[in-house]
Amino acid sequence: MSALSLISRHPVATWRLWHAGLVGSGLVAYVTADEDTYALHQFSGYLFAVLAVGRLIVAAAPGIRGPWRLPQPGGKAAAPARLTRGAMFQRVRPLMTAVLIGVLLAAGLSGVGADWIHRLEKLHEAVGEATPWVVLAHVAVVVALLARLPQGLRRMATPQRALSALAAAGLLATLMGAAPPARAADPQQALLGVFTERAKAATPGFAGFDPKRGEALFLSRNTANPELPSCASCHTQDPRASGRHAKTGRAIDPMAPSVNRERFTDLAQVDKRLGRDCETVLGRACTPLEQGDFVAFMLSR
Amino acid sequence: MLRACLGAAFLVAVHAGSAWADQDWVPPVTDPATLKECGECHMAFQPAFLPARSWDKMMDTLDDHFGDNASLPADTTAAIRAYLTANAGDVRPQGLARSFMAWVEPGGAPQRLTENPDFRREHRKITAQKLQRSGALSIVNCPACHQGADRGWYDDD
Repeated sequence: MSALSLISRHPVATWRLWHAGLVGSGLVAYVTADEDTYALHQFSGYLFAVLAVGRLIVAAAPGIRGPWRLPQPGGKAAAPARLTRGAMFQRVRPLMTAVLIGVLLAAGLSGVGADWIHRLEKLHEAVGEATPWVVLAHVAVVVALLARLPQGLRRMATPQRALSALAAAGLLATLMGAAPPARAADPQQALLGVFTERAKAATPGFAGFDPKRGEALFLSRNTANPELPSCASCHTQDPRASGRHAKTGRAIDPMAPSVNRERFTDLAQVDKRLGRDCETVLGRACTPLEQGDFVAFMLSR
Repeated sequence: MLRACLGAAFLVAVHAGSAWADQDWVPPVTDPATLKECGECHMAFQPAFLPARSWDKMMDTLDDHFGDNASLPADTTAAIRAYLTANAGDVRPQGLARSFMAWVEPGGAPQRLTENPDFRREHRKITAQKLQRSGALSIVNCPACHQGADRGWYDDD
């Protein structure tokens, strides 16, 4: 408990240190959320989660003071005679705290969860994308209501003006959030688009892909290669399951993008595998229609 | 004099240590393209197990790679060929590579490292039934038994 006594003796200094750690680890985790830098992302993410949870534990300790103390829900603030910036901060603080705790904790814990349960990855990504906006809003509130202003500005910055500026910022943030996000379209659908173009060019009377035909091809048993008679020989009958190379025993990740979102994102990789594996299993190249049916089947799983 | 003795003892110890380590280690694969492309269907075997001639022949015949089509784009093939031949057992004879290369005929270009007498002696007790029962499936599935295989360690028996 020496950490707690240190915190209660120097609440502001220890809180600043914690805050710097949280910002630093969060920033590093946000910037390194790529596959190439996964180890760093993992490390800073765990640090972030530990700091976030640790802060709540400290807040729950008896006799904690200063910035470590969380605003008590339901605590009645005496209505101030004059609406100063400080008083407004006291009013906004419970809401700000609730949002910060909710989003930051969700970001940290969903990351830890995604490390163990693959399915949580999408949730973690969504929360991670929302986090910078919450942090920016937090910064805006703190700067608007707590920052010490230069003498000249102080006279101009009346609470009413601060309030309208805050409302405008909120409106702007809402508009930006509601605007269509400028992210790449679904990579799997883009890849399917390429296969559609190819099939259109090569197939007279092309009328779209059929996942059912793709499934039939995936499960078909062929005679070209007795050791590898079917796609399912290595990938199992269920594309969502992990497979295993029938000749070498090498583990194969699931093929369906619903459980493995890396799949069908890289055209060169898909072309390479389809080119090889059609030759190996069927003893011939697949037509553009067969390839598209196959991809459509995988995307439907 | 004392210093010379200690130095000699140190050298002997280091040499003995490396000789012992030689029995079960090869330099691991570090090239990302080799790890990815070779590692898709089987473990990316360390180039030290075959001489450069073997790797050249293998990269020439990827369209019939032990019966399967494993062809790659020309630039990828060239990059992987360069890595494999530069680190082949006869070019960098380190660790296990020395005992493996001792069995390669001069000018020979063996394709299956599992046919090396050194490999066969080490695996003489591994039967097809054992491979099926343990789930390893194939003798080339090194990591099924050798936990450190992808790091070049083949010490577990």
